[in-house]
Amino acid sequence: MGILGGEGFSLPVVTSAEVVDVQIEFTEPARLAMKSTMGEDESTHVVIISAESGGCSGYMYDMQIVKDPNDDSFQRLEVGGLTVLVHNKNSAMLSGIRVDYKDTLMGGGFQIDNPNADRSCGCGQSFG
Amino acid sequence: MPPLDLHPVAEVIPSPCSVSVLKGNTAVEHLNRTLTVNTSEIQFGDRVDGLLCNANGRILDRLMVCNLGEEILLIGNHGVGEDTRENIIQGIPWDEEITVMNGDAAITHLRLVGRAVNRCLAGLGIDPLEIRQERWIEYGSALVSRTEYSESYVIEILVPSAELVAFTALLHENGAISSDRNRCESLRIELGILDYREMNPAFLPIELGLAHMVNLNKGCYPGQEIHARMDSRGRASREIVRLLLPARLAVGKHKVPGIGSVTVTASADAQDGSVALALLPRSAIDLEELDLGGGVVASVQSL
Repeated sequence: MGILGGEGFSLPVVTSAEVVDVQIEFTEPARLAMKSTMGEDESTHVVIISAESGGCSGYMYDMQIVKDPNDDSFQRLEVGGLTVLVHNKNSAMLSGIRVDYKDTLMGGGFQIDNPNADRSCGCGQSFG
Repeated sequence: MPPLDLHPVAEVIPSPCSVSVLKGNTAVEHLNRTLTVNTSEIQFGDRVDGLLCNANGRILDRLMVCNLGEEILLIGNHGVGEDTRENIIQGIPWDEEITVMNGDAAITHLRLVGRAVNRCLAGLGIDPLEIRQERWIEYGSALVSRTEYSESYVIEILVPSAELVAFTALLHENGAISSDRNRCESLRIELGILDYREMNPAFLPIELGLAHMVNLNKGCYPGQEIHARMDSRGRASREIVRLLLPARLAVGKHKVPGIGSVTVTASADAQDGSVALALLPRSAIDLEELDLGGGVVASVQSL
């Protein structure tokens, strides 16, 4: 029956995540850079901004351009002509973020300033 | 140092633990983002021991990871299972399906230690040569592995709690004994087995000699920046040692004139006095004897 075959396991563990109404700001360079990246997909695809375990400070940002999942678990925001989705479980961590874009050879790209973060790592991709 | 006072055959040391189970196609990758060690290549039956740390590099939990194929079994420190599961769940990406289960009461962790542990294992029908540190082998419903320490080795046994009485009786039939709480604690200290009393947010891995549980080449994980900084300095500002004393030393902080703060994490009566685990300031690490004041002098041993 194996080590997991006995009694005493509670299935599954669920934690309740705080859900808040998300506000997100894109700077003009970030908005233009994202629109340029999306190209012709803009009408069918959305930007999902999320957080996951990892990085030096506990959580890492992730941004994906994906086909619209049409999922109620996400909050949908229209930001300067972009459709941005944030999953409810990440809403408290990501509400209030400001997305910027720096067009430099070193350390350039999208950058996120997060008022909820107590700390962030040197590369700016991780927060906690 | 006096020889370790080990039982002629084996002693069973219960090791209070937390138990969590992860299920999902990306569970291994998720753990790899979170722990101090590389779990990305863990195969069925493999064992990897790692730490879960906070952003300040301090230890939140120690996890023995076992890949059971469909599930990943995590054996953590006593009393922190809920926090560890919360930590793991909070960071699951929106596009990954990972289920986390609570098995705190379902599995019991035993340690087997002694001068003839292999004889006990052979009596159970286990080939001692098959038991290695980096693998878990199945014995009925139990899992068995081995941990090396500087003075000896320990057999780690995970057994379904419902089978604990029968399994312990089997160990007794093959020469092992169960000891009282003080004896278990003195054995733990003498062997240098760290548990939740040491592996907690009061300490950094390097202070506890756990550099082998920190992989600075695997990429970012919570605490990595701090660990890398400590590594570049070469040595921690304090380090854990074993103290041999004529009398029991209270757990907690002690001000030692000329030395500074000595933090005692565990203490137990032993064969000739008492033993303790303590963190000494760097300046005192190389001392053979430590004058604690009041006529109490402790022998200092590295773990």
